[in-house]
Amino acid sequence: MQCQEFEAVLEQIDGRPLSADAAAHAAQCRSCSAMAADLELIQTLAHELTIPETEPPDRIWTQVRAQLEQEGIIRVPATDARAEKQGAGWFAGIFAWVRRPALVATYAGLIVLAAGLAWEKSIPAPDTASDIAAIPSIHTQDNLNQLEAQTVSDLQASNPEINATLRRDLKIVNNFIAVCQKAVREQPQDETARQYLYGAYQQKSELLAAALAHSRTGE
Amino acid sequence: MVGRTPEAEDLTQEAFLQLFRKIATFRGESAFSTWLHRLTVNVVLMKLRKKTVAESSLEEATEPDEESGGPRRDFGAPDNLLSGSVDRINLQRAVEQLPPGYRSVFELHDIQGYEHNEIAGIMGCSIGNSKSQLHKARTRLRELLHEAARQRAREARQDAKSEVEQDG
Repeated sequence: MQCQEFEAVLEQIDGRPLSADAAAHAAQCRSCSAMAADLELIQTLAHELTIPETEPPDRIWTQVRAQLEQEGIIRVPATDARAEKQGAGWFAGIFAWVRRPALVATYAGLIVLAAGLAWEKSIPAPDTASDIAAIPSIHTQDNLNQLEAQTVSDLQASNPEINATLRRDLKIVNNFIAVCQKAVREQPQDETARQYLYGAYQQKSELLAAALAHSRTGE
Repeated sequence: MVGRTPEAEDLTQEAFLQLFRKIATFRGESAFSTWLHRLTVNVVLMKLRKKTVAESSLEEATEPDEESGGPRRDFGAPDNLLSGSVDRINLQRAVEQLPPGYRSVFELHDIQGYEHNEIAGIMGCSIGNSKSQLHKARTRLRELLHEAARQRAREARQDAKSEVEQDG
C-alpha cells in the first residue's frame, strides 16, 4: 500500500479500525502513522468542544413578522388583533421600553410630541396610555417620522453599520405601513385595517428602539 | 459559520423568512429539523459565496479549493506529532480559520455528532462527499495546528534569546 492509498483509507473508514494492509503500512511509515495519530487526536478533542447557542434578539422576530405580513404570507386574525390592542399592543410596548434606560429618550420623545400636537389641536394632553390611542394616526406617523429621521441621523455619525441595517429594515416596515394606511383610507370603518396599521407603527417603534439600544449597549 | 453576531442575526432573519416562504415545499421525507437545518446552511453558504466573489483578496483566494483541491501533503515526509502541543483552545482557534464548507462538516460531525448520512441530507451532498470534506477539514486543521505550534516555538526561542542578551 502506498501513502496516497493509506490516506484514501483514512478518509473512508469513519471511525472503524484500519484494515490489515493499512495497519501494516502505518507500522512502517512514520509520516502516515503520525497523520493517523494526529487526526485521531483532533477528533477526540473536537468531542470536547461545544458550539454556544445564542438566542436571537426580539427585533429579529419583529422584522420577520413585518416582512411576512407585507408579503401576505401571514395575517393576524381580527380577534387576535383586538386582543393585542387590549393586552399587549402599542401602549404596553411603550411602557416596556421604560424599563430599558436606553429607550427612555425615545419614549419621552413620543409622549412629548404626542402631548404637544394634542395641545395644538385643543385635545386634552394624554396622561394615560389609553388617551394615546385617541390621537389620530397621522400624528403618530409624524412622530415616528421625526424619530426615524433623528435616529438615522444619529446612527449615521456614530454607527454606520447599524444604520445601514436599520435603513434596510425601515424600508420594509415603511412599505408595510404605506399598505396599511392605504387600506385604512379606503375603508376607514374597517377595524382590522386599523389594527394592522397600529401593529405596523408598533413594529417601527420597536425597530427604532432596538437600533438605539444596540448602538448604545453594543449588544 | 459566519463568526460575527450582526451577520449571524441577519442570516437568522433570512433563514426564517425562507422557512415561511418555502414551508409548502416540505414533503416530510426527512425530519423537519433536518429540512430546516439544510435550508439554513444554504442561506449561509449563499451569503458566504457572494461575499467571497465581492470581497475576495489574495489571502482568501489562496485558501484551499473546497471542491477539487484541499490541503496538500508531502507523502513520505516524517511529521512531528501534535500530541503534547495542542489543546481545546488551539483547536477552537484553528476551527475558526477553516473555510466555511469544511467548518460546517467538521462542526456537524466531530463536534455535534451528526452521522454522514444526516450531514449529506443537511448539506445536499453525497455521503462520500461528506466523508471527503470531513477528511479535508481535519487535514487542514492539522496543518493549522502545526503552524501554530511552530510559531509558539519560534516565539519561545526569541524570548529566551532576548533574556540571554539582557542578562549578558
